[in-house]
Amino acid sequence: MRSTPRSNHVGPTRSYLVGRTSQARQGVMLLDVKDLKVQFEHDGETVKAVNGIDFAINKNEVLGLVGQSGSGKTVTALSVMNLLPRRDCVVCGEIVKNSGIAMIFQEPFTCLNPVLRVGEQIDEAVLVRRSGSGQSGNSVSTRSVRAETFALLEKVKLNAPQRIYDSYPHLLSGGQRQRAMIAMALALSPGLLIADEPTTALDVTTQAAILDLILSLKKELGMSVLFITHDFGIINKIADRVLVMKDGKIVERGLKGAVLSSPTADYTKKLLEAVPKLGSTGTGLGQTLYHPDERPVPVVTVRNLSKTFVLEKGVFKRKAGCIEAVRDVNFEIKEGRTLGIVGESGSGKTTLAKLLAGLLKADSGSVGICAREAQIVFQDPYSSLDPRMRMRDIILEGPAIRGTGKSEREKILQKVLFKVYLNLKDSMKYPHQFSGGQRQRISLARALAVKPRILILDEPVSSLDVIIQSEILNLLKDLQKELALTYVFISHDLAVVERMADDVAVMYKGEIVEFGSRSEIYRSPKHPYTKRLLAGAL
Amino acid sequence: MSLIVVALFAPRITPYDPTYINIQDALAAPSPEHPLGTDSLGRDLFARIIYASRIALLIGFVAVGLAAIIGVFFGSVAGYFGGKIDSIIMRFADVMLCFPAFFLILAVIAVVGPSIFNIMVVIGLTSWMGMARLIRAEILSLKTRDYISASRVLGASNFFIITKHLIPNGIGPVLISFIFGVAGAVLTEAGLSFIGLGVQPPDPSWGNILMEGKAVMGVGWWVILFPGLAILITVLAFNLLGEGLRDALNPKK
Repeated sequence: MRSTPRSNHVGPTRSYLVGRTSQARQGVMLLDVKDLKVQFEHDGETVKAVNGIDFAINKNEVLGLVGQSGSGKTVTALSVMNLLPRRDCVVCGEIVKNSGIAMIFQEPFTCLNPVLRVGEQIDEAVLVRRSGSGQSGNSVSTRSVRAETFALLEKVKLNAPQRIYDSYPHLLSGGQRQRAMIAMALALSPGLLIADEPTTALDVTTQAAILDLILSLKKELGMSVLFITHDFGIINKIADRVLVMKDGKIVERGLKGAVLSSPTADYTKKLLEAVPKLGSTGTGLGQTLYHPDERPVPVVTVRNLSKTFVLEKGVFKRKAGCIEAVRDVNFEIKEGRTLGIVGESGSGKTTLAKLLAGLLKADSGSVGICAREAQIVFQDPYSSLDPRMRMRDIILEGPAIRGTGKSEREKILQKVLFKVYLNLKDSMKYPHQFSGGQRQRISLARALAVKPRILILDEPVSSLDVIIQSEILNLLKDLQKELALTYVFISHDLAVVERMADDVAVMYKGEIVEFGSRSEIYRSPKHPYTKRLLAGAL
Repeated sequence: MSLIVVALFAPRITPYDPTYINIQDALAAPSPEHPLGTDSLGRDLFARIIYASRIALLIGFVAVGLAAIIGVFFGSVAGYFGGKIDSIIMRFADVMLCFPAFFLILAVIAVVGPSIFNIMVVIGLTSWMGMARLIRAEILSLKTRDYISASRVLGASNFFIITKHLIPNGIGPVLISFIFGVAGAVLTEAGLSFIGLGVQPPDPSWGNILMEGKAVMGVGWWVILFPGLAILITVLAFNLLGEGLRDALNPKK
């Protein structure tokens, strides 16, 4: 633990409203960070999360901070807010703040206290500001606080503020909660808003709306924003200047246009190349057909498929309502092709995947898949592998269940590992010793070990960083070519689907509202919902 | 903690037979010859306590082992299948929990008669509910994990999923509860023996040594002090072991 003379722990401030001291130093700079270093001590090891970065934020600008997970973006924000745990980390450097700073976080589901009404939580923030700015001592009238909260709710364009005020967080949608969070941040009337991946957990259309809101508030209130994200699409939309972080260092900085169009650092180039972009895939349809000569046979036929979940309420299991998760869905997929299914969360994509894989029983309709021929790969690489099994046992689970002999299994393991580019040497390791991308490869290997003809991929790359995402997508394409696999590719990310799919089905509230070839859907969408989705995508 | 295991496997460390009666040496105070003294019938107390530890631990492990087997079976079946099966099993467990355990054991022992075997079975049959609840709760959260779904798509049977995935992942809390359970069973056995419904004389048990010692407390303090200490140390040791295991299994460490 060595501390530099400039080390500065930024005073005894409130955690979310940081002091308005040293106003005089630099007129326009709201935040000036010099040589910030953050180290975590963990089991005797030192991890340098942030390794000497400098940046400043001027008045009325949006600074985008991009980087992959683990690059130190969030740690930077937390050290500015003085929110890092003191006990096991060392912060060095100089942080000068010339304005109040407020922060909004990524997870709108965990940031609000579930047992308090949303309005009361915003009231709290209003009270914090009032007591901080000298009006303390005299009792602030509840009514005036409430009036201010209502004004804030209106400002973040939450209609029916009274209803929102009285709601508990679980009654609000993700977008509404994020708006409430923003209202709470605005209650502190900050000069600078730090937004840490505020839209990552949201659907595309909601995301677009939240970004618009942040931009308009910035204009209206003359705020600055430090916007942290891993998504270049968002940066393109919102930022004025960009910082690219890698391993705790800033590898590139500059105006948005310059960084995005002509990046100088290799890392930025690599990141930008890996980003799937709408409209970037080849033109024709024919080129992705792997059997142009044969007339492809449909290997998946879905007819009038429906699934309804009944909600039960109370002790007596009274039927309280039902959700039609999948309603009257029809499609077929021909061998060797990829059907992309897009839709927002709650549109029934995952239910459809489970129906296809035989994990759920349909209420009506039929799924024409030979049961053993379809395998499924899940979104979350952490929960899809048994933490107590070795990698080889995970991959060989399928063959073991089917009673394949020992020497045969060994061969399968080698073959499959080779296909997904995993090392045989690692086969005795446990899942937690692998990275997210590697785990997703293990999942894939497990599915391939039973030689399926159809793979159902449920958001297989959504939780991965762009570079790894791009690797996995390439791997999937190669495997499809090599093994003549048929894919059902489910994703909320339109760009990823465009890259993978031959045909696209758009799901909305349990129904397929539009079905067509990739070029039809992306070039000339017919259904208004599809149009809205495409407009919301960045 | 492994002292207990040493005591278990080396009862030959004492030259005396725990049931050998030597009236001449009755109620001898601790001496080099009899390190912890003798009881009212002249039996060597050290030998009796060492032998009693075998019985206590045997009862502890077998009884709680039985409870764990029953508990894990019912708990995992209830958790995995849910619905009516779950309701029936868990309501049954609730009913069992309603009885004050010690009196239930007393009543059953009074009917079937006291013997080491009966005590083990009865303790086992009356203490599985906690473990069933623990494993059921674990399985309820584990069974929605994706690897379970993946396994099912690969064609795994329910039995395979429960034994290969769910139980290995959910067994942690049960192991901890097992260790605490052993301490509890040792105490229960001592209690039963103390009131004469446990291990029957002349077989030694900490409980019945205490009971015999109670009569001669005034003259021979050592007869009740040492078995009492033995119970204390054993129960403490198991509780500390359980505590340590809980820390070791804590994923945050």
